[in-house]
Amino acid sequence: MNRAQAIGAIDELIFARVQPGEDLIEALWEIAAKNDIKAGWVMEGSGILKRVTFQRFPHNAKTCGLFIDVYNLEGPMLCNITGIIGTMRDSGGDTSVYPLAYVKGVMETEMDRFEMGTSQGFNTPYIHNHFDVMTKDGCVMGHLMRGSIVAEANSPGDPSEFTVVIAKAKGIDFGTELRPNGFGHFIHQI
Amino acid sequence: MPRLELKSKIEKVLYVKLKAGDDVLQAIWDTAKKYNIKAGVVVQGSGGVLKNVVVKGFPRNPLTCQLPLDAYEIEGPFMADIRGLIGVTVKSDVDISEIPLRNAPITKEPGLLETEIDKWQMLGSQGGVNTPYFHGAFTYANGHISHAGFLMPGTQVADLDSDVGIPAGYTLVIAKIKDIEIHAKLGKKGFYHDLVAKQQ
Repeated sequence: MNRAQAIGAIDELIFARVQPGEDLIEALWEIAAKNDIKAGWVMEGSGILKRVTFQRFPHNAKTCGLFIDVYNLEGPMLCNITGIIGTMRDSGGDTSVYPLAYVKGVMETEMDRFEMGTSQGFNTPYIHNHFDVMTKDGCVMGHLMRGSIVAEANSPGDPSEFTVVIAKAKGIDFGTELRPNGFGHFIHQI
Repeated sequence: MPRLELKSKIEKVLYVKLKAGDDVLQAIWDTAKKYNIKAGVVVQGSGGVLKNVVVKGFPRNPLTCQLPLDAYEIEGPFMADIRGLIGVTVKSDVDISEIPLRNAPITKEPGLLETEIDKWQMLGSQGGVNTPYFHGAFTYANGHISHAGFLMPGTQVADLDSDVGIPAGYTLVIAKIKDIEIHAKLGKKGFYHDLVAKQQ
């Protein structure tokens, strides 16, 4: 079977501490932009979250306005993340054709639509991160979204324990694009 | 927002094969000690079946639980996926005997936090200053549940050989990182880990 493949190498590893109160996805966007990561992955990221906001498939797609659910879970919770990093490319696609914009509070603005694809717009970092969290009631997995907040440290002055390890790849350009016919979602391109 | 960032490279990648009955966390600590890993990443741990899991998580009701964290064991077999950070425990101004865990004297939990080593291991450190530290989250599943938690000592690789003829084994992939260290340290109210650039 033909499939897209590209061979690269790890250029460098970036260890970063995400501070209490920070939004985890915003921190990853910043780190990716600052270090000019065109292709990379979150090799490891763990710590405690105060709250997680995420996407999952709805229980019943027929009764759900969207093909994907977005909701919050309150912590504290142990969290572990991994994911892939690239760029949201401007391929000429138009977010306005998405049928998502009518959902109040979730898909109202153009930025909301990009954030559903975990980017902040064309030519900005794209972070496709999955997580598992363990709350007092059980384990939940999903697609990490903005609104996931790192918990306070044990005591004021202690460093945050939420550490992420990001591998920056070289020799590969990875990105995502809007599907040209506009319906549905984003597609990865290597 | 300003945040600490350190850049580094992988010095070497270690593949470690565990056998039936091996304690997974002990194997990670042993590997860290043998290869003098002061900063590392357990990139992957999978490929076998665990006999049981011993995990740490949040209690369902902190008001009725003596400790802020639960530790418990569930019998397997489980498929499991492990990742996490390896560091080294360093000296601090705080002694482990001073660490309050709510109002519960932690030595009163029989079988869980009886000794000083138990206390360190509850925190992810093998046994105190200059011993390895592993901050590991893992997910595990059997036919009925999928769960996650913080890896604790006592989690063992299953022996399926005698039951179903499958060779026992569990493989860890560990990246040793150069130029930085992860320092696990006691603070006044608990444990934390810190990123430190290694002195040349």
